[in-house]
Amino acid sequence: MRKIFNRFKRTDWRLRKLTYTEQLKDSYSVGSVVGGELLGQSVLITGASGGIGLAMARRFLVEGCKVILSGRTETKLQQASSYLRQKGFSNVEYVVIDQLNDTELWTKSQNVFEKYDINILINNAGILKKTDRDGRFRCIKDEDYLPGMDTNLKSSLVLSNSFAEYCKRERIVGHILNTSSVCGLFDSMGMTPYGISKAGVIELTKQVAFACKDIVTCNSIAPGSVATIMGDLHTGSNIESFSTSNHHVTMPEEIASLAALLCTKSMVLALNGQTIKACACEKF
Amino acid sequence: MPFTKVCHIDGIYDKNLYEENKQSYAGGSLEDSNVLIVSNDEAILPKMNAFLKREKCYFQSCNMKEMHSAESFSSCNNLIGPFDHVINIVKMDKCDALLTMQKCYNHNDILNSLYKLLQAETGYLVQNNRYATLTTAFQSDGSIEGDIISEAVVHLLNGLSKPLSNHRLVENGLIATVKITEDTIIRSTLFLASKYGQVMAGEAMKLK
Repeated sequence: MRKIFNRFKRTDWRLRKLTYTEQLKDSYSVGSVVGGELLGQSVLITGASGGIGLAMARRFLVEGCKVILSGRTETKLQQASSYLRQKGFSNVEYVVIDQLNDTELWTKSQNVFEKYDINILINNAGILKKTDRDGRFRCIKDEDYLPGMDTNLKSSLVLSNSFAEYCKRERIVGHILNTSSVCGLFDSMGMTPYGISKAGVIELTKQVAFACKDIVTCNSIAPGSVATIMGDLHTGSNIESFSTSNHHVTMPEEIASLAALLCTKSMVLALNGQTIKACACEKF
Repeated sequence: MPFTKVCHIDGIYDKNLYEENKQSYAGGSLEDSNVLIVSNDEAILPKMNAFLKREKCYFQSCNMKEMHSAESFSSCNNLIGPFDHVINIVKMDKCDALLTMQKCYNHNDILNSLYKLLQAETGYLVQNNRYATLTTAFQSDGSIEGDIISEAVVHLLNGLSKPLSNHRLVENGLIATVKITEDTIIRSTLFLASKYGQVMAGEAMKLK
């Protein structure tokens, strides 16, 4: 009787809670993932005061690089820099660059490239507004549209050109890594400024790789949902998720490790112009 | 509710703090794991073994032709405990093409062999593990058929991920052209097989 009763029971699948703790961050930030190939490189990371940018900074410091953080708010950059120094890294500095200010972006970036002998530029700065998350279209105004497009796409274009100019002048081969998004690949956010700008970044990656063939190499990462403030998540949040294969929202440290791999010499040549999806099969 | 049975699923993540290993391509996360290398190219195995020694893991290699079923994996296992990570390195040869020289169907093509291999491996890993990774690297021979098979392999890897994730198997891989060196393929597979490759579940990198 019990066997018959059990056969009609409905199974309720539930995920166990997974808290995004400092310990979890530390466990994904130790040991090299590139066999020491990035030792001595100099990296400029935009949008590095938090989220994926800060995780990338930590990963590249673990790999033995000199890291320059850039952002628009000095206090946040100071906090990021002291966080990294607390973790035992000293080879880190920061510069304040407002990517919404197009008049000084070119000059400031050239100064930074020359001062720190940058080999790797990571265009990570991005804005996701509430109107993007709500999936609005007809009510989007300039104040919702322009910051996203300017920061996500146009500033990446200016910085990529500036970096290529610098590499050509110095006769070095540099590498550019762009942070795009799966929103630029899937249709669900295609009509939002965020989705459009990220689709633009994907094409920018191909075009820079083609146009600046012997000067810079360029590839990009397209993450899905990541445990950052942009996704309304932070340290201490529950990051379980049914929509990914791993059953949790991607951690910034996972994206950062992939970024380090994509910046090694063998991978930049093999993946030049490509965008790598890193969303653990997340459905959109 | 009397008619509801509650089952909990754990997320796939690794919060172990591994020993710092500057020579690793896996962040040291393959340390003390059992790794199986399956390949149809014996020449790559010594290089692979050299990289695996740096990862401080236990490893074993087998020829692809010997692996027919889940039982073949159990019987060839000389290590203590089941394999935690399986890395397939498959290289295409002229005799592996979709059609024979006489333009007839080749039912022993490399795509069919790889498909059967993955069936056997997933059978073994599902039976024996709470968590495992399955990474497949496919190198084309540069021909048109090679490119066709490469795209088919990408689609196979994309599709397998979701069903395997229900069994806590992380599955990913890469396809490579003839220009890509063995070292690059090996380094990438080690990354993909590690805990850092979990974010690439269901993805196949295209190295050109």
